[in-house]
Amino acid sequence: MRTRFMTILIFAMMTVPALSSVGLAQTGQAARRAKPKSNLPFDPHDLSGVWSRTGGDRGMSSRPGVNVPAMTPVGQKLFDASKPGYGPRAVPPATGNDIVGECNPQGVPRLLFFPRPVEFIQLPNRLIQFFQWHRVLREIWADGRKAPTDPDTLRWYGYSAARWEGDEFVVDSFGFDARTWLDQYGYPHSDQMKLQERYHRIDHDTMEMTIIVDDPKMYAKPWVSEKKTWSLLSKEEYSLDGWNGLAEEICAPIDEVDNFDKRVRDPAGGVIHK
Amino acid sequence: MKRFVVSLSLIVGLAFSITVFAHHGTNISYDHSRTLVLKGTVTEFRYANPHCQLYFDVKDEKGEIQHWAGELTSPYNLAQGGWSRRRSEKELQPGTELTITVWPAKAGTPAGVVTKITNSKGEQILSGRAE
Repeated sequence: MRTRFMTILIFAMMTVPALSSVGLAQTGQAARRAKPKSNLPFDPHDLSGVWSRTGGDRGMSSRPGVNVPAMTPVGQKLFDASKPGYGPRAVPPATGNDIVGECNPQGVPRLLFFPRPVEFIQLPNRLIQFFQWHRVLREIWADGRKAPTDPDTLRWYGYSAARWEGDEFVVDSFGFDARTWLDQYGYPHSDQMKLQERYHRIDHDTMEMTIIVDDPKMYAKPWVSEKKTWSLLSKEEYSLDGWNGLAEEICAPIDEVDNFDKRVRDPAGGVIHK
Repeated sequence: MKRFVVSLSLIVGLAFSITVFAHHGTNISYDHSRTLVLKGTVTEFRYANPHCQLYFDVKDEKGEIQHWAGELTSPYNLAQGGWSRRRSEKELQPGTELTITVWPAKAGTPAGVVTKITNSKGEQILSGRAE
């Protein structure tokens, strides 16, 4: 009986990838996984192209709760008050308080974790990140200026300035609106957060990214993320309907709040609107 | 044999889940250990970002109509699987009879995340990309 059980289990485990590939067969994601890594030449100081996050979790750490620095009392209080829809503390979004559910901005670094195409447009004086998800434009200045450490006007995506350190493109950002979370698991940050992103193109098709959150108001020491991976996409992988360019994935309240949230999300979470 | 059934159920669940892993954290609202197969009639379909929605009526065992709300993946994921807006809307016109498989809401309300849709010809439709 035991042998029979093991035989069936092994067969089933071998079958699952095949079943999965049926669902993925027509997709860019499948094509991306299947294609061999190219040996094309590349310039490590050229980050241009359409990239997608393909490696790592959607949070700062490899999984929620791992390698999180000790929180300050203020940080712990805010963390305890956050009610995310993901991770071990997940609650139905109908009863949670993730502002993204109402189409509010995700901010960074959270938006950097979501696996959707992002076009890196590298200009002589700045890098523009054009996110398909929520169709966000983010400017990272690379003209020698430094980001203001304590700007008067806060921004959802902060103020960003970058420099090259060897082959690493290092982005420092300040001036964040504190209403966003670091990631989908509800980790807080303050308006005093210094965010550093370190990008390293290691071959033609692959770029690595490490995030460092330095926020003494919330955490006892800087929080260094796990190393995240980006993969370069071909236009066939991200384009739809033969239209070369990123798709439009705007979260519009008229669709999400007025329809999905009220008619599906909230009833699913036990909240009924009259 | 009981262990086998449990293991196989988990594996089959994984295979199906590639098409329905939701964003905005809604997965937690649904009971992934229960699968309901519903015979429904489409009342409305919304091909909207970031969540497509399928509304349909189901006649319960007492003959009363229940109005169900189903969560689908995003238009981008559907389109990457070949399910463009026009193709999807053509298949899901109001009045269309379908077999809809869902993981139902834990709250017991007539809502669910849609894991599979089969048309009257027995064809599976609207299979999206993994999120």
